[in-house]
Amino acid sequence: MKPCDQIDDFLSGALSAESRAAFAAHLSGCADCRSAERETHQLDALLLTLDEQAAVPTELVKRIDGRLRQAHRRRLIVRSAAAVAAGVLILALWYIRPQPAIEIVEKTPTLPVEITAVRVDFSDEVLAVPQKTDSPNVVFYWVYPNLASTTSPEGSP
Amino acid sequence: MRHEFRLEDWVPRVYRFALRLCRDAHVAEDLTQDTFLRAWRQQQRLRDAGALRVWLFRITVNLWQDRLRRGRLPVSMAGQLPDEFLGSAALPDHEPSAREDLAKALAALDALPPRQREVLHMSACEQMTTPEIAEVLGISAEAVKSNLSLARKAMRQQLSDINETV
Repeated sequence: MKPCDQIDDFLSGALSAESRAAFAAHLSGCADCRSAERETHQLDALLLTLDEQAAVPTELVKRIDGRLRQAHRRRLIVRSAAAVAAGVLILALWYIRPQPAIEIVEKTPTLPVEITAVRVDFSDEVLAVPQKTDSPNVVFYWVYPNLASTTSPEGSP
Repeated sequence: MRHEFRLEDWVPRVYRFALRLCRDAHVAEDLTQDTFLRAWRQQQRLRDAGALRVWLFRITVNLWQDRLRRGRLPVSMAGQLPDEFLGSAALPDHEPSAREDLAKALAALDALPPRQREVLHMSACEQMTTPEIAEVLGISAEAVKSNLSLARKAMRQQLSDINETV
């Protein structure tokens, strides 16, 4: 490759540092490459002029500004609606939250572990009348004074 | 936007870049508008306000590539040049010969392959660095340099007669 073929790589910065230094040395002594370099700078200036002269639609900025404002308003509305919906959802969830269950425990009577027989000796001075209860293990006695014994000659109240 | 900037400053730059991509004024308007809407929606992704230009151009390129993939190309896009750049009304401050030169330059620019045209625009008109251009287009720095080199060579060849008079 001839050194002159590297002019575009040189101008676009595509050369390595070493090659760039070598081409710079070549450039100082090559009229064709200096001309190409000058033409490239002129070309860039021409392109810049073209770009600056490009007609931008006058209403474009205003139209984009309007669209951005519209999008901003829409976002505010959506966010507000989402916040309200979230509030309603929280209230609804609170309202239908599961209630704690009431546990009904039915207790069944159990027999005493140990049955104790109690013997009661009533004296002749009383009358003991047994009463039935719901429990087979419990007996009530109605106790009355034995009038017959108190009227006996040797008895005393 | 969180990173405040003036639309008046950026809309023309994005529009001109979009015009280089698509070469159609109406499509460029749509691309510019969509670019700023997407930028507004994705504003939290821009970490560094200094990277605004690369970020905006990158969005424009993505939107343009989406259109190309979907085949949404306007009928007017068949390599034609936008009329508003060729008429004397677009270049009122220039002599007729200068207007002719600019028109030829525009024709030469638009005759370049798309990638070379995009790279040349960002380098010459936006003075963007090679890494910045690479990021916008999603290509390597080497590819940027290669395309820039080819674009300049092609433009110089096509405009050799203009350069003699500029």
